Amino acid sequence: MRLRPAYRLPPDRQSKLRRVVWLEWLTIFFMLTIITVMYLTMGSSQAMKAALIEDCLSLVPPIAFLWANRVRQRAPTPEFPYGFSRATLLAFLAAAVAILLLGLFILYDAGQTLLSREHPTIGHFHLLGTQWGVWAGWVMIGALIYSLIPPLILGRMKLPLASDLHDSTLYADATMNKADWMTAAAAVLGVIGIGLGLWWADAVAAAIIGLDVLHDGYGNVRRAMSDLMDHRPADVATGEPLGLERDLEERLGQWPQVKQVNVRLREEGYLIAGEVFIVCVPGTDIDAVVERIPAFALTIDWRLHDLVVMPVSSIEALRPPTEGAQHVL
Amino acid sequence: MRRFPSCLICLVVFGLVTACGPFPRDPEGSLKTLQQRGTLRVGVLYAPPWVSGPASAAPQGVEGQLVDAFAKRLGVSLVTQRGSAQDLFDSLRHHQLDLVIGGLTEDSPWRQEVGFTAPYYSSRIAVAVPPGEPIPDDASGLTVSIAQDSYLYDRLDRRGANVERVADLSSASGAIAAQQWQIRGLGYQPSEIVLHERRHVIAVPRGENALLMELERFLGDFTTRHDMDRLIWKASQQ
Repeated sequence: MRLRPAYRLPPDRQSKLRRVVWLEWLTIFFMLTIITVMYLTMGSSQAMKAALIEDCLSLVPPIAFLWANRVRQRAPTPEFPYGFSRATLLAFLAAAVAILLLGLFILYDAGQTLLSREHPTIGHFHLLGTQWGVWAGWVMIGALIYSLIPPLILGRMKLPLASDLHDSTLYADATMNKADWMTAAAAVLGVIGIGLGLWWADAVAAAIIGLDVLHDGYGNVRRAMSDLMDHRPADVATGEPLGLERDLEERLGQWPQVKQVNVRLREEGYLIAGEVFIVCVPGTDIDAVVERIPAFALTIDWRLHDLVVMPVSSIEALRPPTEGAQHVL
Repeated sequence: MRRFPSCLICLVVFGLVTACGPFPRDPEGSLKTLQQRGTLRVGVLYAPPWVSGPASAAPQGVEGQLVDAFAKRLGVSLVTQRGSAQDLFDSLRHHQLDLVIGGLTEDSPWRQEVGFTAPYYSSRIAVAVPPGEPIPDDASGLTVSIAQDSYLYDRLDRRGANVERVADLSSASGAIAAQQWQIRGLGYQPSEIVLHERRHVIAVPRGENALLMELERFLGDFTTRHDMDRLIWKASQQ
């Protein structure tokens, strides 16, 4: 059996990937410190509880990313002849489901607080059995502001890298970081609301954030599912098609040996694979053309890996047997 | 997109906090209302030594003294109401009472319905021996006396102690298991065999954080100025 050749990232992307791995470890470290601080200061604030659970769940995308990053670097084996690049898609799905569940949880919790008209009770700050002469709300606000800063910075650093590396897990992680710091900001407003005697402020703040997180989660789960269904290559941030098929057809069409060309591509995690159907000018050395195309494709885009080239007599011969079949989805 | 600038939040926060006086405030205005009304309405559950005395009079006991001193500090008069726990906590929830006292501890099931102060006193329930006797480090095989109405039987039994119920702890010979204030009051030496810890609280209406802060501040001052163990022991002897 011929295994798919192992993929090597171009050197510039490799250095970016190393940077991301470092950022992800940093994220995990900061999240653990944040979870500790939040746990120690958490009172009966709903928004604060939502923020803590969000912080726990936001460990999922970085862990999923680091796991997928280890797996995807393995060379193809006889058991997995196409390699492991789809591990990133699995990780993306896991991360997206985590975000979706988080949104549902926050919304449910806030709704319940509002319906039961539960007034959050917050008194003096206590640590290790000593009463400190300060309202615990202030300490919570301090903890929340601390929990706001690392995701704010890390999320902004990851977002451009996610697009550059075509990594949807990383994108979901950056989205989650954004949801994270916004939850913390809303919780700060909620705690101040409690201090001002507005018992509902806290739960309303949590509910608004819950809706936002739910929206992100829904979008990410949809994208993860469509990626696993061999969606055509799309931008990780916007979901717009990359148009690589057209580029490839145009560039190959300029070859004197090529009469007609048609390309079909799919996402396999951070890689893009697919088939190239070509009709060669009569009298061309077809074998030589076929062998040159995969290497040429990589010069158009770094993600195009192991394209399969299929010489055919005419593109029309490839029409699907039934026209309606392409709209099954 | 949905991006609220942090500096704006800070400005809003600063504005809100400086623009208004007391912080935190009560959603239902308990503290302000009680000061305007001139009365502190306290629901009282009979629970000696925390709350004792006849129903017709002002409550005695440790928490009776506490609410009396708290009312004096606020400059209001004390109005008490006796009743079943259900009645009192319902009244508290509907803001017909300001506090409920009666030996409540932090793990009381009522914590779901009302707010609690932070524990103002915690009592370790431990095995203790008369002065001069060697302090045991393991309860197994030890004969331990407990009060007739004590709930500690199971806890001691599980540790392998021989448990004896006595009518009066002060007449017991050998080791006893009792509250911290009883051990000190009887002059016994506590061991490291701690069976339970009770953390005492006072109930307030949920979310009335200004009242809660005022009460916790008072309790903090009171407990640092008094020897709580002795106070409770004295109350239990009346």
